[in-house]
Amino acid sequence: MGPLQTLRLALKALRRNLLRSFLTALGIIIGVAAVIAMVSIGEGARRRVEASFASMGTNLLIIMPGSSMSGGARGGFGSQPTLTRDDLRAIGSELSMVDAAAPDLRVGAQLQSEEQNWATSVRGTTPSFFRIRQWNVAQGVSLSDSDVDSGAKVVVLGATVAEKLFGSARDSVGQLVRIKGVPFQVVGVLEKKGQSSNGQDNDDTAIVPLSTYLSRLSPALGRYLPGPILVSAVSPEAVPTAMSQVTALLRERHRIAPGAEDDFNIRNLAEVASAQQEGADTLSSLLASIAAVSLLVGGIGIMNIMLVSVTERTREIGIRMAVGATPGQVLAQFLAEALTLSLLGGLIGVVAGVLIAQQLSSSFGWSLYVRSDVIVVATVFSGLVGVGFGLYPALKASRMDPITALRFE
Amino acid sequence: MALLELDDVHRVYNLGDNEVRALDGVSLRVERGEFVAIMGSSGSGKSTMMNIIGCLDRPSSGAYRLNGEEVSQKSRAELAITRNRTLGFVFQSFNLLSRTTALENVELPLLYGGVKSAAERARRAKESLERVGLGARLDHLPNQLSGGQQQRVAIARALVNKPPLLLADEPTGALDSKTSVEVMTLLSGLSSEGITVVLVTHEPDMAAWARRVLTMKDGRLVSDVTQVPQTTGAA
Repeated sequence: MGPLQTLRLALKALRRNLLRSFLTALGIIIGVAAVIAMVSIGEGARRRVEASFASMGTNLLIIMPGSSMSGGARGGFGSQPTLTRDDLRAIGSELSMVDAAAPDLRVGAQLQSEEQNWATSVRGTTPSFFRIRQWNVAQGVSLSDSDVDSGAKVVVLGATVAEKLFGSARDSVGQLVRIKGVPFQVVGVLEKKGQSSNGQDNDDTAIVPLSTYLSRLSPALGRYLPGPILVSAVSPEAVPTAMSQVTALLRERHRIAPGAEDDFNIRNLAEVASAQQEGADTLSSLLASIAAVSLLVGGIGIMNIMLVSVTERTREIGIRMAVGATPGQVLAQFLAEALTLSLLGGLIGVVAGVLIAQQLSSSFGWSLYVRSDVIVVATVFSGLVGVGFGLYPALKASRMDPITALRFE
Repeated sequence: MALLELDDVHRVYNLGDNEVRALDGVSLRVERGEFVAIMGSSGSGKSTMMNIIGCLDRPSSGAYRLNGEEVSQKSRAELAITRNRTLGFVFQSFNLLSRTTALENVELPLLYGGVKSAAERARRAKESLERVGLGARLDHLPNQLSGGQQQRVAIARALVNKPPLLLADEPTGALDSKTSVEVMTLLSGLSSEGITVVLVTHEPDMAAWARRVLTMKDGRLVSDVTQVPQTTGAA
């Protein structure tokens, strides 16, 4: 008897007890659907995190100034300005693995147009900032070196701010904006970057030249920069080397004795990304183990029903054996039934899982990514469950004594 | 060459401390085309005899040659193949698959015998059903057929692989006397067409249809009588 005939026989047997077959498969359906839905949503979230890190640049380093110490109370990183404009220049020009360096000074300020006003975080930086963050203007022009040198009162707006103040990016360019009462001319509007990895709106910002920022918006602290420096390495692979180069340079410039603590702190976005990745991986393995348990439960359901079915059909098995079914053919028949139940359950589960995930993502606004390898693994795994749990009942059927089986009432 | 040949066959069951000798040294030769009835009261060993001849069971000791092949040492899978090719069974309780049409029931031995083409299986099953006079009831389910018709489906199933030996275990036990006669007439006719028929029964009326009557008692053959068989229901 060929595999096709065995399959046809199995389908026929399962159709006979349609409700029972469906309920048995339901265990697998729910298990697989849960896996697919959870993994798709988890994967969607993971990809969004990844994308937001990619949008910040994976070769990005953030140098935070050191911590302050007053009366024994230690402030956090950034509480004590230790980085100078000369440090910035040296990092940007002297190090082989550093592509560019720019300050990222921020202050909260109220922006006013003629008709509207909006509070946002105003940044003071240099043109390198746009290169490091891989962020271009969508309208108008970006900041130039001469703007920084001359302390020009110009501003580049984030897309959100432009929209809030002027209704659209196009209308913003050339307009005047007052920041802390100082008039600035809008020279450009940045392209949209969307949400950052921690849910903040990247586009809710306004960027002014460093010199103007220090003289007009936030008091300069002598030669110190009141904020962190962003550095981009020449490539993602060069990040570790760039880190050690920056560390060595700053220790030398700040005259820190060997063995003494750094008066700055370098953060690596790749590290943050990998930590988040690790979190996502832990979640994935947790989901996978839940899925494995639910499939196990489904498998036990299949085994249970197959055992009942073998007992119920003892006489049928006897008849089949009497007319010449070999033990192997009987085994194949019952194994095919278990396999069909679990595989059909698996396939229905995949479809249900994708539909559930789509429903959830559209009603909660979650991002969704259906991985084809997860679908394949879930289907294959449900098949294995069928074979694994169907084997014992099938063996039991194949080992029946035809004489006893024929006499069974 | 005899179709089946038993030589000092023993079948012993061990039930705890008790040893039951269901067959205690049976030797028997049945030639091709014979119509043999095996009689005996219950417990005489005729069912065990039937199981051994039908390759459903193996002797504890002794030799059994069926159609020229020694079958007493075969594995379960080999016995299944022998049953499929050499034997047809007819049981007292018909033993048809429920919720399965007459045609599909008759196709069953062909399915296990490796007839790949569905059209070929259907053709041969139909032919076999026509032979027992049920050509018009191919798509009926067992519960839509009378007892006599069900038994004829079972006979069609037993014949579909064209085996040399037909084993009938109390084939009329569940039938009224009129349909019993119909079934016996059919078996008698098959015998005259050259098929060897071994009939196990405890009813002398049925044994009367056979040419040769064996009687068993306590696991042994106690008589072996050749007679002029009844061939119609008129007797």
